Amino acid sequence: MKTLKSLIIVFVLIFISSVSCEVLEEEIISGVTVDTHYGTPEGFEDAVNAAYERLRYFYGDEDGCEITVFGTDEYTNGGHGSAHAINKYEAGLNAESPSFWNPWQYLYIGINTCNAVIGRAPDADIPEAEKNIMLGEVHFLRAHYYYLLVEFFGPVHLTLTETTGVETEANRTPEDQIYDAIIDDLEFAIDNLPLTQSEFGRVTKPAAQHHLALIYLTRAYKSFAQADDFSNAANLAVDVINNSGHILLDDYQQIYNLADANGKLSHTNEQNNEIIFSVQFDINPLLNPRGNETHLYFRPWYEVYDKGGLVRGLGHGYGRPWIRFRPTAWLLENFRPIDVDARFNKSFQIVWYFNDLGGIPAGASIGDTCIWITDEDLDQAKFDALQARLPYANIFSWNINDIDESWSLWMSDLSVTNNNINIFPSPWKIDDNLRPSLNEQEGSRDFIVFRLGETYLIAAEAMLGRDGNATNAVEYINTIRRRAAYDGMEAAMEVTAAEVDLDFILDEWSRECFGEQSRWLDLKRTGKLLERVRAYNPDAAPNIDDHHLLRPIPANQITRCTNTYQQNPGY
Amino acid sequence: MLIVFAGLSISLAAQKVVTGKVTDENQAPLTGVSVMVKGTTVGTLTDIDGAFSLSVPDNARILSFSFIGMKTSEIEIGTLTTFNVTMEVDIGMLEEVVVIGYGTQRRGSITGSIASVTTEDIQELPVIDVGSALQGRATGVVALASGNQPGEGVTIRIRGRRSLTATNEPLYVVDGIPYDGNIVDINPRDIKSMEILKDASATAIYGSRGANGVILVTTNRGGDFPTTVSYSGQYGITSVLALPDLMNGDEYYTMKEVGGRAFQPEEIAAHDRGVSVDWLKLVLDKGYQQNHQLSIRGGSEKTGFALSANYLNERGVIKTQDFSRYSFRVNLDHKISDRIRVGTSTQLSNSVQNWGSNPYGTALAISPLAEPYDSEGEMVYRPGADPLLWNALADYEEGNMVDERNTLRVFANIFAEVDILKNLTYRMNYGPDYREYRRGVFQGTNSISRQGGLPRAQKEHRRTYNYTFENILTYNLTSGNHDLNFTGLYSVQKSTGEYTNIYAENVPYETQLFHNIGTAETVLEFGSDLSEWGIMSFMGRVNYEFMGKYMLTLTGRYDGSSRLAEGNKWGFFPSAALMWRVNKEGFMSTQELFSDLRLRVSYGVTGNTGIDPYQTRGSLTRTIYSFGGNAAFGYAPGTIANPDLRWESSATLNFGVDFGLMDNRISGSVEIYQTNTKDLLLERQIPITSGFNSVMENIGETRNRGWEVNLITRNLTSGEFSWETTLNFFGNKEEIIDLYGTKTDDVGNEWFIGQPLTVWYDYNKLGVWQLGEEDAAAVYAMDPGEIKVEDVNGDNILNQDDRVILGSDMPTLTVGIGSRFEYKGVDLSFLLLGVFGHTIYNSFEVSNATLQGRYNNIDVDYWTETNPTNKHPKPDGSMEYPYYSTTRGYYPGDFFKVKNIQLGYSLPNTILSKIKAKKLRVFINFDTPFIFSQLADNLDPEVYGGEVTSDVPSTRMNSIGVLLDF
Repeated sequence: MKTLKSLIIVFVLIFISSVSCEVLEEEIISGVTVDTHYGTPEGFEDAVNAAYERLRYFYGDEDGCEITVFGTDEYTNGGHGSAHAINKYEAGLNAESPSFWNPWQYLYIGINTCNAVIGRAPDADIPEAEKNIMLGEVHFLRAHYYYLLVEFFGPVHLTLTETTGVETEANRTPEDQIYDAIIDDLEFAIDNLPLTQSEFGRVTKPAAQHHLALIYLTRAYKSFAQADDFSNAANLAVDVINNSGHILLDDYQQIYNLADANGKLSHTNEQNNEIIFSVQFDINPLLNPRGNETHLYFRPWYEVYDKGGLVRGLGHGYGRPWIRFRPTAWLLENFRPIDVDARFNKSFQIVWYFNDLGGIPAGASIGDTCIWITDEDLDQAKFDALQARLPYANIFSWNINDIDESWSLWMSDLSVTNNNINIFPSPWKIDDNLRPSLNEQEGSRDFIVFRLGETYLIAAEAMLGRDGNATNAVEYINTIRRRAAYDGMEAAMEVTAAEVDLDFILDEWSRECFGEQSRWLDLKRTGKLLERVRAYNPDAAPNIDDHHLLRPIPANQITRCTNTYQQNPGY
Repeated sequence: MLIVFAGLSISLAAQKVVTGKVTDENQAPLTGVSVMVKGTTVGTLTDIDGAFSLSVPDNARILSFSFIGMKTSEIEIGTLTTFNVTMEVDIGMLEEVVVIGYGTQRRGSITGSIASVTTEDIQELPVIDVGSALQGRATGVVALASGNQPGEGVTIRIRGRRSLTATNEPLYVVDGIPYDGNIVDINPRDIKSMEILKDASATAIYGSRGANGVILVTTNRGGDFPTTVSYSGQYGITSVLALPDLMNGDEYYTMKEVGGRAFQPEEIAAHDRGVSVDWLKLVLDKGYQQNHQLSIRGGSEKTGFALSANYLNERGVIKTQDFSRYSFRVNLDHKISDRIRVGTSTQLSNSVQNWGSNPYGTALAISPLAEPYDSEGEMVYRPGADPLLWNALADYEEGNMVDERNTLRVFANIFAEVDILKNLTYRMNYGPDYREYRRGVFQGTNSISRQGGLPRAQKEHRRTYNYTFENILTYNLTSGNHDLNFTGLYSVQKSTGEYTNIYAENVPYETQLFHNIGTAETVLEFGSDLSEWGIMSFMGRVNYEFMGKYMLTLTGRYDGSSRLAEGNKWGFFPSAALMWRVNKEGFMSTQELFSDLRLRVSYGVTGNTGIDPYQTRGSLTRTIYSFGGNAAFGYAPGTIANPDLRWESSATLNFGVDFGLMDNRISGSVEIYQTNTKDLLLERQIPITSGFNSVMENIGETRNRGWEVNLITRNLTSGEFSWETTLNFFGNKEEIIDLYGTKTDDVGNEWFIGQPLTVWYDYNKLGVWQLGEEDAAAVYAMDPGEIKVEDVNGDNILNQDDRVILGSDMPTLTVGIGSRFEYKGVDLSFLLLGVFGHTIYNSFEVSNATLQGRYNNIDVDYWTETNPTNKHPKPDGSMEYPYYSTTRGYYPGDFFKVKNIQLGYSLPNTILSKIKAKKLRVFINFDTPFIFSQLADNLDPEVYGGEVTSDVPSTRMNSIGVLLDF
């Protein structure tokens, strides 16, 4: 028994010594920390990549769309969604709306990542030349995040250093200082970035130039404008047009078309010569947890207008509809004459065909027209004749003259009581037929932020501002317009300098880039937001006023600050 | 009392040695029983196996066995030398042996605050988890349902919450080994007793882990007694407690019309045909629960064993949700020699929870004008006009939807005990705990979640290995009026958790479910993780007792945790307690009112590091981007490093009175306490302009003050009729005392000085804007028919400054009343539970009364021009939910429930002896037969966290059962 006892004691002693103090040592094996990782070459690259990520939280995102598309002259609300107040400038447009909180928080998270990259760069073990290119990218991104914040919210918190401790206070830096910081960042980017990058989607020098042109142009209208803002903007834009290597595509449709040269469906055409900067989304779901969701938002509720025989599918034009953004009558009328300017027909789906035998009306076959939205000015006789020709079709008209006809998209009581609120032409540019399944939300189309067509418009707007007339600007407008023309209609598309004013440029901007998450900013920049919303967006017109030029500071920001964080006036 | 004459050896010496063994009614050995020759000082105590050996003078006549909590027995010695004695529990006495941490103690000597739940309480209830057995039975314990899924169990909070973000889970200790995770895996029928340690004196020996209270679970053991075979079985039918009143086809149509939402042609046609589908009825069914247990206990002088096997099977009212569990237990004790003992408690359990999906939620939303089947009886997957609402019945089709969660666990305690000296015992516990969790999900093309999309499969694995290693030294010294007991501990605990997961889309054939994910065309997610933590502790405790009247307990524990940064790892947690047995004083001997009276006071500090590992480090978060199709993974700053994180500590002051009146006809205890928690570990929300949403910090201070009353009355004991009632009520008030050392509110985090830790903070609903109030409404850009909320600061703007505290989810008063009647073999018992003083948020109503017209709606009283109600706003088809929608959801949470009524019958001995059984009892049981609450349709407001959701409806159960001992 003695042996047993000693055995036990020995066993215990061995045990105790084997579980010494290492029990209390904490070693992170599965993760990495800022201090250890960012200094390595791989870690620094990881940090740079991370700085891009937040782009996906704004572009192609529902909140990002709501605050840029709604409440403009182009778009009003469809029947669905919970953010109609953002369009209508109603009570729900307030500090507690997630439509503002989400962009606010996501952009600041992005800014802190940029600050970390820039602040830790001196210690990163990576060749100087490579490092500076990467830093150029990150400076551009930080400038872009601040541009969005300052334009939406006015004087906001400005910090250019990484947060390493607990911060519970925030400032409201005057707008002009934020613009100075943005310009510094973009100048750094221009100085350090190459004309092209080996990986498509990385920031290039032309992207930074285009952005800085937009920044000067934006500041040019402000109270703290510098005298040479317009001319700086014009010079930068012209430099991009002449020297960047980017060219306008021959066919407007090719900018957005998903088909490659062989007509095969793919995303390869998203890397074309006109694109200066686009947010990258990916067909591989592992690389696309947060996809481009615009394909949901701009689509009408086509599938409920049939009496059977039309279902959502994977083909072009039959995607999942969330019925958020409905074009205003102005947006569509702005494309006329549509037999001269090809951009209406190249931009909008107006026909849906039967695509399912289930419940298809007796006599109809797959491929017959189920919904047609014509631009024609119909009267009852014409309507009846059309209906006789297309007996199974639901016929609508977007012609403004037909207002209050039963087939009109623009009935005066176009509230949710009216079925017609959920039907409207659907933009092709958001269509995403490569989604793997019917209800997939995460789209894989890249989101174009800057393209050369817009550089022309920036140049034109800047020259108009600089010169006070459109003598120099008109050629940039006409270049865009000739490209947009049907073959043989180029001359008809041309305008004279006398026809070009700020409103005309904004009209052209809409024809070229409608629905691309910049309209609210364009209208605000040019001081035309109130005027044009009142004129063209009947849902928003009664409510919009001056205080809406700034968005409300999210309540979370105000309540979490230990110092007083002032709300914007009127909220 | 039963005396077994086991031997007849005769000694003729002037002194003779008597030996024997003392057990309780369950044949379990009783340790520490005082065996005395009556009228002398000759005596001894029984050892750990209940055995004793004593030299008695030849002239000794009577042997007296006394033990706290047992009736004293006196046996004539005569010529006997072996005494095997079974002692009976003295029901009236609060003097049974109670398990405390790292040892046992007589109830009468306990200085701390401890509540006990006995075998009887547990065995009688048709509960499937340990937590449910505590409900309404243990003072100071709030046990509320964590969910209504089969196998979900309850969430337990002891004396309120202390921490906002570190865990509030009590520490479970099963047969001496800390038990990580929910105790749903422990089979309640294996449990001998549960002790809930509440005050710091009782919990301080668990130091850093005792702040939220400790629940000690002791399982049945074998011993030197005839083998007993027991079977208990039970079968019950469950049904939905209450159903909401949804709109029928006509009501829905009218609401949609009022809300001005466009109709689809199908809806109009269905309405014209008078269609009104009751979807709830289609998806809900009756469920059942069955539970069978076989146990065998017994042993010899050297070896005792307790074996049990248990099978539990429960199917929910949503028929794709079920839970089944097999568990096996082996408890062994063996004496190697007089001084060395070894043993084990080992449990193996395997449970499968079919989580299913929630067709109930879909059934609540789907239009009553939508029909589930077509004219040929085939399922219509997308009934009604809405493209988003899939048929709620789709997941009931075989193989469409599987979410199977399988947990395999081995939990053991292996111990060895050596009596180094007469009074000095060394014990070593080694407790391995191995858990394997596997979740497999398959969502077929036609499932509700895929809605015709590509099928998806997911497989997730978690493997956790913990071990606890303890070395305990116990020293006892009794000298005259002094009783001294010392316990010392060195303990180490370490945990390693691993995780892997893969999630893929488009598996080529659906019958594979999630078992051949490699064939899937697209990977959606994959990952793995490793998480480790450890704790090292030293503890010492001294119990000192003077003259059986004055007791003192001093403890100290020194704990180190890996989760904290260097320099802050170690914490010291002391406590002290005093107890005075007043009724043992001379001056009490003349009175007859108090048969027992004890006063207790204790003070101590406990800690909490229930935070996730690696919080002190600034971590990076992986980001995902791509460039032209090339992966561009990255790492962004994820959390702010905080190397200053330190122990959260709670100091508790507790006063208690234990009393017995009128020969213990009435007994009970009253306690008041105050717990101050400082260095509160908080996940604090900070301005996002810093780039971070929150940070873990030691920030504030909270206080819990409360009182507890526990009363047991034996109302009738005469003859064959007995009636006993247990009453316990307790109140607790939770308060934030300080935040960030500034004593100011933190509105951003919704923390307020003087308020409980969580409050409902929202606008105050005044009603609905009525006709005639257009101008007043227009100030806030509102219209008649919309919800009217209070402009608290009167600035004509409704914004975050107008929110007010509308209540807290923590109850202030909890009442449990249990009563038991016995007449001959018939017994009847019931348990009532009342919970009061809290506010609940009825998210069920808010989310199912959006009045949008897209989804079906609870049939609420909504505003129209002709119905100027203040309850619900006017339907509005253009809004997904009304403005200020949530303000409708706050209700008083008070409820009163009949938890349980049970009627049983035990067969008399005359019949039992004929069938050679020791015990046979049959019973019928009604679980939650009645409920009284302030929610419409008496929906069950009993939910932890105070938010009533649309998850799975609460149920009641009627069951029958049998208990048989051979």
